[in-house]
Amino acid sequence: MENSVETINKIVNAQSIAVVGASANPEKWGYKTLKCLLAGGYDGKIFVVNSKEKDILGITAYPSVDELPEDVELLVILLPAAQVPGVLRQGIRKKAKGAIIITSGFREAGREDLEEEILAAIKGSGLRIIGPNIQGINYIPNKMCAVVLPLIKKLGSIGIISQSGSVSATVSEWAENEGIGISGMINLGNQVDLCETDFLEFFGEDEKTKVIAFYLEGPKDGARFKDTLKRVSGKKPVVILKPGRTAAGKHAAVSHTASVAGDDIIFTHVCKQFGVMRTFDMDSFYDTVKIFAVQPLPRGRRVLVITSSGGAGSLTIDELNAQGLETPLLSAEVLKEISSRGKSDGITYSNPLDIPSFDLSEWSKPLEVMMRNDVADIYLFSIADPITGVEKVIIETMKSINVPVVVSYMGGGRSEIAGREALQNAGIPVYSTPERAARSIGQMVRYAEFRRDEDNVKN
Amino acid sequence: MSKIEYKEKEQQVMLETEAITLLKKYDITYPEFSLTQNNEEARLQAERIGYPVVLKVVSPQIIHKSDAGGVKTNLKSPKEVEKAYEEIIRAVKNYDSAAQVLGILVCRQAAEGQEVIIGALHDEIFGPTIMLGLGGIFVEVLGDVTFRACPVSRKEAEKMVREIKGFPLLSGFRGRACYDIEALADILTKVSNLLIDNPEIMELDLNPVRVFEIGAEVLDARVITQRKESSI
Repeated sequence: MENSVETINKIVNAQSIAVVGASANPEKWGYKTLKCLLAGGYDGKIFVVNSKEKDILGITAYPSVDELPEDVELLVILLPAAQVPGVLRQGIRKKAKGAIIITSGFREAGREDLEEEILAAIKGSGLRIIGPNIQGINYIPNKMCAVVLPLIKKLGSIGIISQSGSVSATVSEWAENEGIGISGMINLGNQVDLCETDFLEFFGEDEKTKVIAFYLEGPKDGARFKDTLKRVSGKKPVVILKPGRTAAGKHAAVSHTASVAGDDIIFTHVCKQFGVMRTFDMDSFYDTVKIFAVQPLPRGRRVLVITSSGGAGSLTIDELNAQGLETPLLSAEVLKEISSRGKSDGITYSNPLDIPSFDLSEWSKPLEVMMRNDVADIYLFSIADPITGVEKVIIETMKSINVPVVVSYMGGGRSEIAGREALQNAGIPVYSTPERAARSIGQMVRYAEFRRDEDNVKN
Repeated sequence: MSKIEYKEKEQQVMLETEAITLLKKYDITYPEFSLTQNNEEARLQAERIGYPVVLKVVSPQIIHKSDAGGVKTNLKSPKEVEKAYEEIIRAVKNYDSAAQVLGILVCRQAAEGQEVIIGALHDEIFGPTIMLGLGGIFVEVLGDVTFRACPVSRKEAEKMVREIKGFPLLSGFRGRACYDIEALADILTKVSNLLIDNPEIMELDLNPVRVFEIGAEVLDARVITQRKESSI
């Protein structure tokens, strides 16, 4: 059998798809899935299989996979569970490389036997399965939105692997709404065949993917998962959201060690060892993924805060320091250069660089000096007033340097809405509070340090 | 998920003498000791090893030796050793009349130092994982521990030591002694090797490990393995 990554590559880049169990009823998953595939702009051939209809959404329907006019690379199956093994056997005859089984009613409904039947049907054929019991998969480079929902079209660099359709849908919607987009979204479901580790490996090698967002409940094969996680994390950032931190998971055991160690503590610590960012809630999961998706890794841990507000500035510095980051004061040379160009009375030339002004020239003057000097490894703009047009200054002054730029924007009303959009379109991540921005920077700095340690990336 | 439930039928506790032999194979230091069968022998071995000594019961049925009154420390004379020997035998019989006593371990009493716990668990996801924490309340009350999946390199072991919140207590906080962090990191790496080579180990407690200004020693070892096929 060819290796899993090669197969997954063929599946996500399939040039023909049969939607088996497509429906003409807009309430049915079989309709929604076909609709998403069409609306996503899929360039390959789409076949529709439905035993009752003549055509659906303008596409000719065939009564069975066997009766399709030609071979097909990928099956997307929505028929009832009992019919799935038969469909797979037909797919194999049509030389299909993969099947995405959206249908539920397997192990989760007490029908392990149907899963065994599925595996028996594909044995030795080379056809591999994603699912069953999933909302589908989306691979944007191939415009293949093979999901019940949501329709996501924006190409970005986030690869999502999820044991929950709701989590993957939410992250991809947030990413699309913020103009960041995703590279792909894989829902795992019952994982009868291809499992989370295969997809971790796939996204690890996928050139379109810069960061992996992974919602995990528990891996299928611990040993392989461990090795793959370690290897992939040395290549690109892996952010995990895993529930279970409050579970009673303490080991009932004889040893002292076991009585101290909940399962979750070990998971958290080993993630840290491997440079994997384990998060505990949706906000920090997405916040962390977002910063990696659009910004380069920082070279160090010095952060310069530029703010419009004393309060926001203090909160920002506090959280940065809590993250163990450095917020050095401006050097004498930098201050001298600023003085030589004329200081403004209202501005505090420190860290935070506090510019309580609506006059954009007050913003650009000191920033230009910063750009010419190596004052920070990361710039964090903590805007907390409606500074109309400040986004233009940020985008303009920052485009010449290759260091991460992050914005926290609050209290800005209409100016904030316009500013946010412009910043996001320029690839600058915007957070709604200084704390969320600072925590995300903390994650990025720690990961960058992990990667700089050669021991962690040589494997 | 990665839950390890203690199942009497599937797991067994190594005798401390066996555990020590295993540690020695990996060059992990344990104070000089001798397994003795009677009072007289215990006294002779104590003389040979040099006072003060510690006496510990060796019995397959007694896992928590201190709870059973099976440990006596800081014994400074032949008289104290003889008395302690009798007391241990009595206490253990009292604790569990069916307990089979294989002997009493006479060990050199270790010098003062900072106590830490090195532990290990077989995790269902990550396989052998190793734990470090400061001894006593630091682990139990404050949960100040750190874990790694094995293998643990020497550099990673040093990171573990620096990572625990109680690290200042090892590194000369307010005029306290500076303890031998390198020796501790050394033991961690050796234990990691031991765990990789012996996948049948399900749990391990080296509690305490005493760290001195120079060197470190394991003072007590508890190793739980999967029961061998033959003994089921």
